[in-house]
Amino acid sequence: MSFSIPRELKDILSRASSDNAASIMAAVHEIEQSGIPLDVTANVVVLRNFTAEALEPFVRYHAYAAGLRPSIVFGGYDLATQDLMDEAGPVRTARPDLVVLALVIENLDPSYQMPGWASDTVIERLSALFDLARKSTSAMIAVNTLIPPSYSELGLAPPSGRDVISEVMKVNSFVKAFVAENASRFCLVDWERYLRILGEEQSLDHRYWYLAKAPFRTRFLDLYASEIVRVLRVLKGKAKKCLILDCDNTLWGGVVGEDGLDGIALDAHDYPGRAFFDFQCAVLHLAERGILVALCSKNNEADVMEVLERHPACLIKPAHLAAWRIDWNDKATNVIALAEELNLGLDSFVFVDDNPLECEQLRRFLPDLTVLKVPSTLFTYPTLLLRDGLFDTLKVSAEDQRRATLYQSEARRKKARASYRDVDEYLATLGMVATIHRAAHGELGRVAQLTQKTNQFNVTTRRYTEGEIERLAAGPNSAVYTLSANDRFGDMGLVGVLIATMTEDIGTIDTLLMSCRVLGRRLETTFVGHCLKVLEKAWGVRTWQAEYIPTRKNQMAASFWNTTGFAEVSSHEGRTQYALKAGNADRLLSDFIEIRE
Amino acid sequence: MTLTRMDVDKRLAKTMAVTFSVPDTLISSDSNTENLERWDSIRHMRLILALEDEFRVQFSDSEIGGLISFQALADAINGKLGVDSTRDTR
Repeated sequence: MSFSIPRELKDILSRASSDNAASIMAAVHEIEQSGIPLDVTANVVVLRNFTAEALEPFVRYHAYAAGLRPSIVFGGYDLATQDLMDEAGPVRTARPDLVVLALVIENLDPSYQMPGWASDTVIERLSALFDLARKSTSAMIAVNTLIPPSYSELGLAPPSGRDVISEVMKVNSFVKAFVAENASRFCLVDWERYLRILGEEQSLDHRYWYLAKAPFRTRFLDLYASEIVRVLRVLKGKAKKCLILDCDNTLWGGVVGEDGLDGIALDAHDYPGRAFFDFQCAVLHLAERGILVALCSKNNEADVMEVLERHPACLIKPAHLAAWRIDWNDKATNVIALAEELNLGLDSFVFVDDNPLECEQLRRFLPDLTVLKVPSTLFTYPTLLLRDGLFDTLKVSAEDQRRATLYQSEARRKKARASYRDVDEYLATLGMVATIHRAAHGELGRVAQLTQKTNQFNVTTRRYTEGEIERLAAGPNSAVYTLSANDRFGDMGLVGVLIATMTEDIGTIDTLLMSCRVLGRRLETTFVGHCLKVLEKAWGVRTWQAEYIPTRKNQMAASFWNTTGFAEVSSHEGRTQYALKAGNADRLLSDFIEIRE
Repeated sequence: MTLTRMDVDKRLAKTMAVTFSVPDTLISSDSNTENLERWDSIRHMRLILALEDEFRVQFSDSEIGGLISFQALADAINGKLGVDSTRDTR
């Protein structure tokens, strides 16, 4: 039912090392001979102005590590512009999920580094290329920063502002600002940052640059490829959504039950307390961008809550938590309970614990769960959660920033529910309001994000970029609807997306997805009912077509069309088509739910 | 443990096979860019990078263009690692 990376694959991957291209290629070769099944494909087109082919095995390696089956196509040497315009080129034919523009400054401007060189031409060329890319594809587009020279032509004299390094930095400021403004279509791979991480020695191969215009060394290619795959992982809905933390020796040093509130190591100054403090700070940053934080530890709940509420250096407060299980049950049981409470698949979770035995057990019992052990080299702990980009998002929405609150009002709803005799009585007291309308411009990013992230209640699991959503929303024969909901416990935010298309008098539901935390209160049927009703009028639809495409995770949506009165038309390997005559939409609405547009 | 010529041959053959994505059996001490179709200039570059990582050696810019046979590669690696490179006539 749930997706996991086969153990066999993990074993092969673990034999390779990021500083040995031979080992990376050997792993890729072995995986490709093994026939290990991976059902999610990821297509990358690299448009470049240098010899970039050495990148390919590294992208393959990291894609396999992310559970993706990659296809990589390179455009012609220094033909990025032509490739973007070519109707028969890879951008059109390879169905890319991601177009990587890989551009070195040396080939962007022939007078680069000549005396008197300024960056204007490069900025103009990049600007034109980015605009062309935006118009030529609806895929996500990755662009890089440029690498300034390591040695200034001015020697020790202070930078003039017109020196080569300063000028390259101007280009990079332009690139970064452009990506920030166009984050729905563009993302950044920051070469300049890779140089900072690895240093020039590990990054650049001047020898091969002169020989064959191939500038990069193994470690750089590895880092570059890993970040390209991080983007793919987000686009393919494989980013993690929830962080579960142990407490003792994970959130702080020591054991609170024994050392007491004042005895644990957690403070802004000393070792090792500062390492835990910095780790908590990193967790807060994740919470700020909508990652759910939960605790799962073997402690007395009161001891842990006392630290969270009263310890002066404890940054994580109860309000940051979406859920917790602090008791003496075994952790696997508690993790499963947390997954059920938060309505997420186990593969959406990352668990951090200091105990190697617990880590190993969790890995064995719950292979879908990602388990990280607190490193014995504590100084590397604060960056543990950022390095691999497990929680990446390409854009942070307002919705993300208040997610913990959303989940906490959900917990209050569940408590209220327990006191009613039947579900209808309970639902009637909620005072639900469903706001349903054509996706507004400001909602397109969130809509795309939901198509990328929603796995469970998603009848067709079609992933869309924001560019594609924009096109569907604007098209004369397609419509994108959003559902936002609130009730007396609080605002649930934008929780449903329906995409419909029309040919003559036949309407087709291309996509229907709902956030799991709002299921089971008739919102899904009301949403569909209202959209059908409105579209029947607007489009003159006489027959509706719908579809269910099974994946490993959307079992819960399998019977949805049946239960809403759609009739099965045909079925092949679980993929089922349904139809419904117009005029049936009213039955789907609910008395408990007020609809606003 | 000192590296022998046989070790070098074995690891070289393995690296060539994975770089060119061909079965190990297709690589022999007679392989060269003429008789191995997949040994093109792009894969040659990947092979050089892979061998440098695998054996922790560096080939010079002037050397790379000439390393277009199994023998030439084995000799260059043996030379850099100080492995006795005289090849007996088996």
